[in-house]
Amino acid sequence: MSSYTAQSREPGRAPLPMTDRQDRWWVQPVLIVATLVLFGIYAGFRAFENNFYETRQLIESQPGLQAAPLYLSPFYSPPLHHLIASWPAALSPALFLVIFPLSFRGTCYYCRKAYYRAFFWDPPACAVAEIRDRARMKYSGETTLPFVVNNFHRYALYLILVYVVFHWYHLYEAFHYVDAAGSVKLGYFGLGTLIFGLDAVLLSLYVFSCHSWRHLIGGGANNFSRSPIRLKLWQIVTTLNKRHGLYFWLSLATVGLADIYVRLVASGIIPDLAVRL
Amino acid sequence: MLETITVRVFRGDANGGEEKEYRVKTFPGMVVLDAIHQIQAEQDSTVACRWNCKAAKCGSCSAEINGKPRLMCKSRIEDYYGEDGIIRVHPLKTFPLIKDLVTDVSWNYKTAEKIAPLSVSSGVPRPFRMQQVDVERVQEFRKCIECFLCQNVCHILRDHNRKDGYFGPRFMVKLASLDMHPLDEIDRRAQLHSEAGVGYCNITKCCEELCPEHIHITDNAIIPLKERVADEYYDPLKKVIRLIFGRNGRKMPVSSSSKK
Repeated sequence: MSSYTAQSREPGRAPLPMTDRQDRWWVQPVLIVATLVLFGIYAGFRAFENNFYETRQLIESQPGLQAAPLYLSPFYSPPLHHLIASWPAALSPALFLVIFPLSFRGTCYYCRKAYYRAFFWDPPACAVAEIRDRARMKYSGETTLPFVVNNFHRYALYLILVYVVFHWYHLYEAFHYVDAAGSVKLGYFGLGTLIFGLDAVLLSLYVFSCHSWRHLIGGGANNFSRSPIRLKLWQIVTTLNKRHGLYFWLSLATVGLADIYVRLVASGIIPDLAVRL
Repeated sequence: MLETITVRVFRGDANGGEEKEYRVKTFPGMVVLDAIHQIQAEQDSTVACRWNCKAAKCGSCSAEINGKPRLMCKSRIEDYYGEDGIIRVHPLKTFPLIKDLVTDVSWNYKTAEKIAPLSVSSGVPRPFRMQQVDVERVQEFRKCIECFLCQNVCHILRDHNRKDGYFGPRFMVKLASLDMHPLDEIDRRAQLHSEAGVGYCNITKCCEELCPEHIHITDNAIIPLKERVADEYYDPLKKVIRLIFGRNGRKMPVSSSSKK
């Protein structure tokens, strides 16, 4: 049995060991670090790769192919290389495009919980003391740089709305194919279409369950009875908001899955499983 | 269920202390507070613990059971002892220790005094008539029993000891209940931004995870308050809109000196 002396930093406080918890509190932070680091490494690799991010060119590179799907990797969306004619081919658009989803996810209230706990151990888990001797450091939370930028989450939200529109547009495009003559036709349903559908739905659920969105849509009001439409919208977003963390992970997974699938198809490793209507 | 268990209770005061072991007979439905009472009645009447209702409504018997901040009266023993039949009971670690399981939580009451009460214009007819949809949101916050478990687990107060800069989750809930009240006339954003220190919270949600009243402290109180503060201090677009269209019926701010 342990004996303690009272803490020095505040006279009279009970001792503060690392933790008295006996459960596996460290599992969650370890899993979060592992998942986010793996995703970050893969996303970085894909952003620098600057290749195999769309499938329409398969019709030219694979002679005999009757139809090539119009898939575009979400890492390369919006398609700047198509929208800006003078975009240099050597410059990966993903390196620029990644900034905005990263800023949205990085300032997301759910993600903040995840990374403060898992990466900064601030704290690693509830009632588990921080490792570094922070008594010497003046804690300032999100009031000073760098973390004060988290207060601008709503601006990252405004930008990510553009991405959501494009993800739905890419789903619409995924119902199209390029035929052997090079013309684009409607009437295609591939495994990629299904993945793009999941991606668009889950990304929308993640974005529209956002805490900032919940505030902007109605949470800032104190008199809901005067604005029943805002009340209804706020109630819908509140329902979604309860699963914001789940949507964070699912949308991250489907974005990654959509990119992996596009890469596999675009590089010719696997054919797209599809039917033409 | 084991017939007897071992309860290791922290015994000591501001000068230090140690765990002391007690063997306790169990019975169906037994909670940790029962075990402490049994120790007091049959083995050592000098064990100090604070309790009152034994129904999870007074918020007095907060402690750390196996390292987890919990109400002793709401914690079934079988949820805490393992194969070794041992339960460890310690006092809250964020507040100064008085004796054994009793801590001095008076800092919380001093902090409460810094928050101005509900302020309604004299022109509003009494008794107040409000729509249910307008008060529903703040009713959740009224469930708080002031057990201060959220204050205890908040790492800003617990690890960083920033009681000088942050009111803590309990008082974020209190401020939310007032700032979101349809009749309250005080704009509390200046106080939230400065003295109350809502910006210190980094949303790690421990307060919400262990609230015995299941109040969504972070999602429904702290984050909405952070967003309201962002409206005022971190949103240049809203600032421009306010400059052009005025405050549009917004409450007027008061300085943080007139809190009582």
